[in-house]
This record gives sequence, C-alpha cells and structure tokens, in this order.
Amino acid sequence: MVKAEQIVKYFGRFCALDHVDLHVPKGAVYGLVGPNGAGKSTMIRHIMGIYRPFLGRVLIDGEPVYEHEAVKRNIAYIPDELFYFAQANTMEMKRFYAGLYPQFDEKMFEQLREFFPSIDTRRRIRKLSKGMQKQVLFWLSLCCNPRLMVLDEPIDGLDPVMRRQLWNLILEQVRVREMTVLISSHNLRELEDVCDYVGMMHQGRLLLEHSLCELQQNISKVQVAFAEGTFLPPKELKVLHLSNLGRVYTLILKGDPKQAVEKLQKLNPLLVDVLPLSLEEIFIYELGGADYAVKDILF
Amino acid sequence: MQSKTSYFSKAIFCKNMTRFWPLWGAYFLICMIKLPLRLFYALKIRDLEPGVVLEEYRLSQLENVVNTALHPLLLFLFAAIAAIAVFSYLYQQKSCHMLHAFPVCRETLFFTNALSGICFLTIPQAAAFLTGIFVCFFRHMTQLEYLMHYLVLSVGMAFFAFALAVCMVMIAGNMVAAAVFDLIANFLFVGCQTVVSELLVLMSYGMDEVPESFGVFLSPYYYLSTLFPDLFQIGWSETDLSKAYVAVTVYFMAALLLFALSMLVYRRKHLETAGDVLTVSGLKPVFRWGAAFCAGCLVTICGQFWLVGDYFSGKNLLLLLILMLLGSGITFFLAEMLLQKKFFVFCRKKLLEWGIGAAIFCGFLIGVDFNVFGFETWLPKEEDLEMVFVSGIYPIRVEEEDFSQVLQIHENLIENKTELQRYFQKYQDNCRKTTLKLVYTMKDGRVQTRSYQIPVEDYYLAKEDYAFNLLTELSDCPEYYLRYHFTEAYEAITFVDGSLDVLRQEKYLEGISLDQEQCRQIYAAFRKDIEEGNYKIYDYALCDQSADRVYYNTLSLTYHVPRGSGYVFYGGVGEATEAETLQAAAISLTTDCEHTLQILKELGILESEKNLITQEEADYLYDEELPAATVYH
Repeated sequence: MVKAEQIVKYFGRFCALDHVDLHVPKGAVYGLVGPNGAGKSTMIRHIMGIYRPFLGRVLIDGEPVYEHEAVKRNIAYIPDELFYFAQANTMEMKRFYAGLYPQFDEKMFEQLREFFPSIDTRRRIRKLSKGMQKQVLFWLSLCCNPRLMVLDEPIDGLDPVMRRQLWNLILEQVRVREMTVLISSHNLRELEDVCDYVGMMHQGRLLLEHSLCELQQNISKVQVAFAEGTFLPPKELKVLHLSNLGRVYTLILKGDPKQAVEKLQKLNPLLVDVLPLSLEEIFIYELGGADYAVKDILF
Repeated sequence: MQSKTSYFSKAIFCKNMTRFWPLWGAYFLICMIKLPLRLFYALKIRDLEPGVVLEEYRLSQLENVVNTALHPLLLFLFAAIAAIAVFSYLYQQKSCHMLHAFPVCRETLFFTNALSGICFLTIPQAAAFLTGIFVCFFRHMTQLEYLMHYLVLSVGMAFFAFALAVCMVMIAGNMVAAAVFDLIANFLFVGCQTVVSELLVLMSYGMDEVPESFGVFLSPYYYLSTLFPDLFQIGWSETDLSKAYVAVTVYFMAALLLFALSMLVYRRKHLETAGDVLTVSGLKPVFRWGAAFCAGCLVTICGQFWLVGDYFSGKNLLLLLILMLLGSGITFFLAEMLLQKKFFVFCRKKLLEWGIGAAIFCGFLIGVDFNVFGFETWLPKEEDLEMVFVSGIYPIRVEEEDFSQVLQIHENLIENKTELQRYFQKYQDNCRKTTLKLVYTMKDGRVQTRSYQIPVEDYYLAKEDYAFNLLTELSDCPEYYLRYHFTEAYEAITFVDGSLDVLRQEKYLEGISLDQEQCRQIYAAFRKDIEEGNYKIYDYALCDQSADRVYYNTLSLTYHVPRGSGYVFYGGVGEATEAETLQAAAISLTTDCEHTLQILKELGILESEKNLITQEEADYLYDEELPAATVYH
C-alpha cells in the first residue's frame, strides 16, 4: 500500500531523513516508532505528500503521492498538532471535508455521533478541549472512508475509554474494508496490541522494519543460571545486553532463541529459560545498540 | 467536488467566503460609501451661487467623487489584507501541513485562493458601480461613462495590487514579513532612488536630486497614487485618461506575470519554511544586502545632516565611512538574525561575507568622494541637449543659442570647485549667496540636474567670467523676462484684471483694481520697458544694492493664455492645461520703468512716483514690521 523509496530530506544542512525505505502492506496496522527527533513526523509528512523529498519518492498503491489529488482522496491524516479553521464548528468542518473527499459518508457521520456524545457539533471546535478536538478529527477522518489512515501521535490527550473506543472503530475499518493504518506513537504498549508491523527510526534512518511476530522472535530475553564460576557468553551469540543477579544471568539476544538455547545448553547451566520481550523492551535494546542514550534505564 | 481538469475547489472557495466575510464586508461598505453614497449627496440639486451653472457643478461633483473613489490607498491596503488572509494557512506549520495533506494540489489551492481574493476586491467594486448607476439615474445624471471608467480602472488596479501582494505572500513565510514586503515592493524603486540620490547630493559637488524617471512606474502604489486622484480634474483631457488606461493595462499584464511567478514559487515552495521571514533561499542574500545597503546609506545621510550639515558645510569622509559601516553592518546582521530566527549569527562565513560587502560599500563611498564616477565633472555636450532649464535669479527655459552660455557657467563652477568649497566652509553661515539649479534634458530623453551655491561677493563679482556674472548676463534678456511673467505665449494673452498697491497716506497701501483695458495698456508699456532694457530682475542676494531701484509695490496682472502654452516656474517647465489657462504675473517695477510709470500716471492710478515706495524706503518705513493693511478698491 505504502512504499517509500530512499527518502532523503534535508532541513538546511541537517539531514532529517537519510535514505529511508519503508513499506506498509495493504490492510496492515504499521507502527512507526523511534525516539524524539528520529524523523517519524517528517517521514509521515512525506507519506502524506506534504513535504517534497530531496531524493526518493513515496508511492501509494503504486502512484506517487506528492501533489496527487486522486491518491490523497484515499488518505486521511491525523497530525500531531491539530488544526481547525478559526470560528468553525464540527458541522462546518464536516461540510468542508465532504467538499474535499468525494466518498465522504454522511450516513456514517450520523451513525458515529453516538460514539462521540460529549461533542457539541454546534460549538466552535477551538473552544472544545484538546481531547475533544482530537475526537472530532477521528470522527471526520473515519467518515472520509480512507483506504489509508495516517496517525501521527494521535492518542495523547484521550481518556482510556475513548482510546479503546477509537481503536475499536479503526480496527473495525481495517477488518471490514481492509483499511491500512500507519501510526506513529510513543505508547509502545498500545501499539503492541494493535500493530502488525513495526518500523523503528533513529537519527533519520530506519533501523528495522519487521512484522511484530518476527521482531519478537528475533530478539529474546534468556535467563541462564550456573552452579559456579563466571559466565562468558559464547562468541557466536549476538548479545545486546548482559546483566546478572547472583548466579542468574539475563541475556538480551538477537537472532533465533532456539539456537541460542542450544548453544547455552552446551555450557551445562542449572537453568535456561526464554522469556518474551515487550515492544518497549525491544525498542530500548535496539536503540541501545544504536548508540541511543538508554544505558541508564537498562536493567 | 472537483473534476480532474479543474483547478477550482468549491470547498476551499466557500471556506474563504464564509471565513473572511468581515474582510470583504468591510471593503464592500467602503466601496459603497466612496461611490454611490457620496454620489447620492454630491449630486443633490441645491441652490448655487449666482453665475454657477447647475449642470456643470453637478458634473464637477461627479468627477470629484469618481476621482476620490479611484484613489488606490484603500484598494492596495485591502488587496494586501485579502492576499494575506486567503493564503494565511502558509504561515503556520500546523495549518500549512493540514491544508496540504488534503486532496487538493497546490495549483488548486493557488487558483481557488487567488480567485477568492479577486472576488473580495472586485465584487464590491462592481456592486458600487451598479449602485452608482442607480444613483445617477435617481439624480438625473446621464454621464455614466465616468462610472464605467471607475469600474474598469479600479478592477485593473485591484487585479495588480492583489497579484503583487500574492507574490509577496509567496516569498514571505509569515504575515508580518508579507505585509512589509508588499509595502517595500510598492515603494522599492522610488525608495532606492531617493536614498542613493540623497547620498550623491550629500557627497558630490553639484549633484541634485535625481528627477522622476520612467522607473517610477516600478513603484506601483506611488505611481498610481500620483496618477489617479487628479484624473478628472477641471478640464481633464482624453490624453490624461489614455495615460491612465495605458498604465492600468500595463499593470494588468504585469499582474498576469506576477500570478505566474507566484504559482511557480508556490509549486517549488518547501512547506517546512512556514513561519520563516523568507521562503525563497535565493532571495536571502538580496534581502540581507539590500537592507544593509539602504540602511547604510540612510544612516550616512542622517548622520551627515545631524552631525555636520549639507554638502557645502563640509564633509568628513572618515565619519561617513564609519556611519556607512555601522548602519549597514548592524542591518546586515539583524537581517541575518531574522532569516535564521536566532541571535547568534556571527559565524566566520557571515563575518567574511560582511567584510566583502563592507569593502564594496566603502569603495562606493570613496569612489563617490573622489569623483571616480565623474558625477562632479560631468558636463553635457551642446549637441546632445534638447532643453535646458535654469533656475537662478529667476526661472528660464533657455533658448538653443544660449546653451553655450549655460555650459560656460557650469564649467566655471566645476573649475572653481575647490575655491568655492573653501569659501563656504569658512563663511557658510555669514555670506551672500545664491542658488543655481541647472536641468538638462538630453535628446535621448535623459534628464540630469545639478545644483550649486554661488557666493555673491564683490571679490568674485569683479571677475568678468565669474559664474554669477555670466548668469546675470544670461538672465538680463527681454525675451526671458516676457516669458517669465507672461508665459511663452505672451503675444497671445488676453487680460482679465489686475491690481497695484499704491501708497496713499503715510504708510498705508491701497490696492487699486485694474480693468481689462487698463491691464492691456500697462502691459504694452511694461513690454516697452523690458524691450528697452529699463526693467531688470535683481537677485535676492543683491537686494541691498538694488533696494533703492526696485519698488516695494506689486503690480499684479491676471490673464488667459491659450491651452498648451509653455510657462516656467521655479520648479521647472510646464504647459498650461485647461485648468491652468488662467495665469498671473506679480511684477516688482523698477525706478527705470519709465513707460509703465507714465501710463500708470496717465490712467490716474498714480498721481506721482510718490505713490510708490522702493524696497529701501519700505524697510525704513515698516522697520521690519508687517506693512499696514492693504485696502483694495
């Protein structure tokens, strides 16, 4: 659905994106994660056709998105900083969206009204709370019936119930219409629940891009205990992090966990156990390997 | 919904119309007040003074209202506001990103917003025009062509003013910068010309203000604001109207180019520049250097005036260089701070760039000071001259055979530069001097002006070829006297009336009115005096020497000249328009004007010469107080 090829972007002399390749399969929920300043929002703005890349191109369904109205009609965008016209209320913004998106679904707008009971559609949007403003944008965006929904840190400011409700609505669209979702967020626990794919950015580069399953299979936490002596991990193992508490050693390993266990078994440990890693832990260890200053929070 | 081939978005257009209604509503009200409402009251039938023809009065009222309605001030102001408003989303990152994430391409956004802005301006103008027609019918006026001129000219101007503002909006990255750029663009040429000209006047011997050239057209608001408020003056001609239409047509064509340029800039615009001062990186050096140079010149000019005085008070090159470096340096780095949006911009590269610029600026100043460009020693070739105007003792449009005399005066002044400079630096505040202005119009249309101060001291006057003596020789010419007082058509004038201040008792002056026939007879006698060399105009600098020969009483003659007659005034040369066919001469008679004095006595206006007082007597009589009230009969 989304294919970004070798995107390079400079802001003055600063390289914001450095040959980024990104692929989002159709019908997938793709989480774009990375530390602050990694280039996530810049990448999203390229995907939305807002920024013109210095090099490379972004294709949506095989068509370049930049300055392409027909392609953009199938994309809805929820930015990190919301913008509404001054004085406009929800109904006026609905008319504006309906004028721009030919497939805007008026019926759906009415149907979704019950999901947003706290929103007074006749009240100026800028007078609503930040969370409510975000709800309005979700409401309008869903009614555009997009084939791709791009969300840039969209969940902040929403209460847990509304968050769950919105995810339900989005995932329903993914299930029913095969809508593709690209989301950038720092809330990794939430992404872990909804994402099929994850791309991790750091310093303008895409460090990794995998399905969540692959990612979780590729990095593992292994606990191993020995009766006596000092443990030195075998050189063949790609150890991202090593710590110990008494005789119990905790290893964060990259690669196939089964092979790692086999190799560790040869050292005659008292115990070898493979534990699942959360997305948040993967994020921390991956970025730790990429010289990101996470050493203090590693355990 | 838009079609694939359309660059118009109904949603964007409706959004503009509903969001910005206070803007077009305000302009609508202004247009309605400026034209139909004012017409409604101006064309009202009312009692007039005897002799005033109602229809002529109402027509002049109509012309006056249309003149005022055509003034471009509010139009340019609202054009700038409209352009800034409809493209306001470009000034904030979040609005800019959101609008460009919608399924509308930049062409659609541009054309829809541009159309909205043009509608904001032209619909109120069209409404004012239509309402104006109704008002005219209601007031029984049928000269609707004036309203048509209003519509066509104001729509043309609106189109250009808006296009220029849009261009500035595209170049600027924020609202304040857009407004400032638009203001600068409307005055750029005259502004730069004035600054450079003032600097040259300050630094070069004999340099005078650069006269208005064709380039003034490049300062649109300035040009139009001088063209339009006087379009339909009394006796306006088709030529004036044609000139206005040509100007508006040219501006309209320029507007099309500006729209194309703006579209190009928008297409290539990097949206991450939203909020910056300038969004086109290629213009950043122009901005830095333009601002630095203009500010450097301004500081130099102001510093010289405040600290030293004008050119003839002397100048200190080192001081001027310091002022230029200070003014341009501070502005250069201020401009850079604005561009980079940070205070610390003093990197090696910028300091080096500034050093190169400073060297160029200083080189320019030193070059001007040492006359490298030859401004001070420039002397035209006689065969290249089309017309020469001299403003000295009195204004003269010089005849071709006298061109060499003028050039001789000019050459004399150039040769004596050092001596005259020394004289003025020593005696600037306590000397007798006169000012001479020379305006050369070349055959290729160029105009060059020079201005000099000339000491009028006995030491210099003793020299035969001294500039002032040559000027006196040139000025003491019957033909030039006649032309000065009675225009170049002095043979074809018809008198209206006149007056003479006559001393009746002690020091009371009585204004005696003269009828047409008396004027004619006085003119004939005065002309005879001129032709016989009895009459002379003395320079003010020599007033102490001529005070016993020049009468204090003023002879005023009012007359009509044929339209198009050439006349001179202290500012230059003119041609009498329909409104200027009525002219007046104010003559200070001399004691040698025997024919004039004789006819005045014969007509019974004067009993004897005792009814006239010389300047010297007046000084004594009135002792620098205001003269006693003049009573006119």
